[in-house]
Amino acid sequence: MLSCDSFRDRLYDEDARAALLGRTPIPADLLAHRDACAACRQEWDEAGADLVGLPSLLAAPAPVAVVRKIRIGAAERLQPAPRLDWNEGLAWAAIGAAVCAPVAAWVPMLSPVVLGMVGASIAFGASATRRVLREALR
Amino acid sequence: LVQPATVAQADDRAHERDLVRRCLAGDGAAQRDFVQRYTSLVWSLCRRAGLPDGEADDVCQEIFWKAFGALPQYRGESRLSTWLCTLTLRRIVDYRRSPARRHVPSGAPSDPGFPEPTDSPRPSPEREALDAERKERVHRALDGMDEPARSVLVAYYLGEVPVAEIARTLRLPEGTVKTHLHRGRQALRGKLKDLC
Repeated sequence: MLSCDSFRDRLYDEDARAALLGRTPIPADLLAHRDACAACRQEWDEAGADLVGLPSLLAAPAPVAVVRKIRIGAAERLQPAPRLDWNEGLAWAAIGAAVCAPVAAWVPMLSPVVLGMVGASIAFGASATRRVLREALR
Repeated sequence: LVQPATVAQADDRAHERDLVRRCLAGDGAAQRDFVQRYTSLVWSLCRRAGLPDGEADDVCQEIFWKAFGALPQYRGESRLSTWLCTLTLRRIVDYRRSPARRHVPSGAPSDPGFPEPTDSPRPSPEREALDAERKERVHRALDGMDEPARSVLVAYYLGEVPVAEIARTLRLPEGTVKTHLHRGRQALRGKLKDLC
């Protein structure tokens, strides 16, 4: 059986809080002592009343300007991370390759394949960068 | 046997996880809901823990910027309000330790012009006067409390932060936190006992 001091300390544990707020049954050790001790029964009732009553006495609405700033901050900061669109990237890579490969006619040292790959890489990179920048600046 | 209250709590958690998921997906309505729901709680915690008006505004915003950054890590183990209030309590502790802190944290909640709730249904004038008197007395009693007693009381009752978390954040033994809670409650009750 709990002592009165232990009972008083137990009132602030989370299982006791849940029971005081009527969310869960009263833990057995608290129930046994509460039923046996009139002073602790009163303490229990007061603790329950304080849990219900004190939050409204302590709460206050935040100033409108603060709410507005935080709302704007939420819209700016809570954005999904930009994702690479592979279809768009591959389409640009193909365009890059098609544009660069014919340049081999004027640059005999490099084959159309190499120039096509260089063009594809540049176009793919530009496409990905453009997407990331667009998301970041939105 | 599953208790209805436990089911309701599980529903709440699922709803909160969904709210977080939608916020992170860029859903504007969810973000507005999140801000509307929790700004007053965080701001009240800052004010009642003794931060002056302007400082409370700044600290409240900082807490939300930090919370937005940490939201992807939120797994729903604790209620969203408890998670935010724990962040708030940590930030208030840092603020008090900061050498840049300019104001003494006393008397702030009873400053003139302190906003009172306006969005609840209007009670009778007698009830309104009684509530105002209760609030005034609670604020005065809080003003008269030393730290960490005030932060402990505000975190536990307003933020619903568990004793173990308060103890960890304030680096106090759990028994000391409970003693502060008990004495604080008695002090507030003493101030309110002649009001029905």
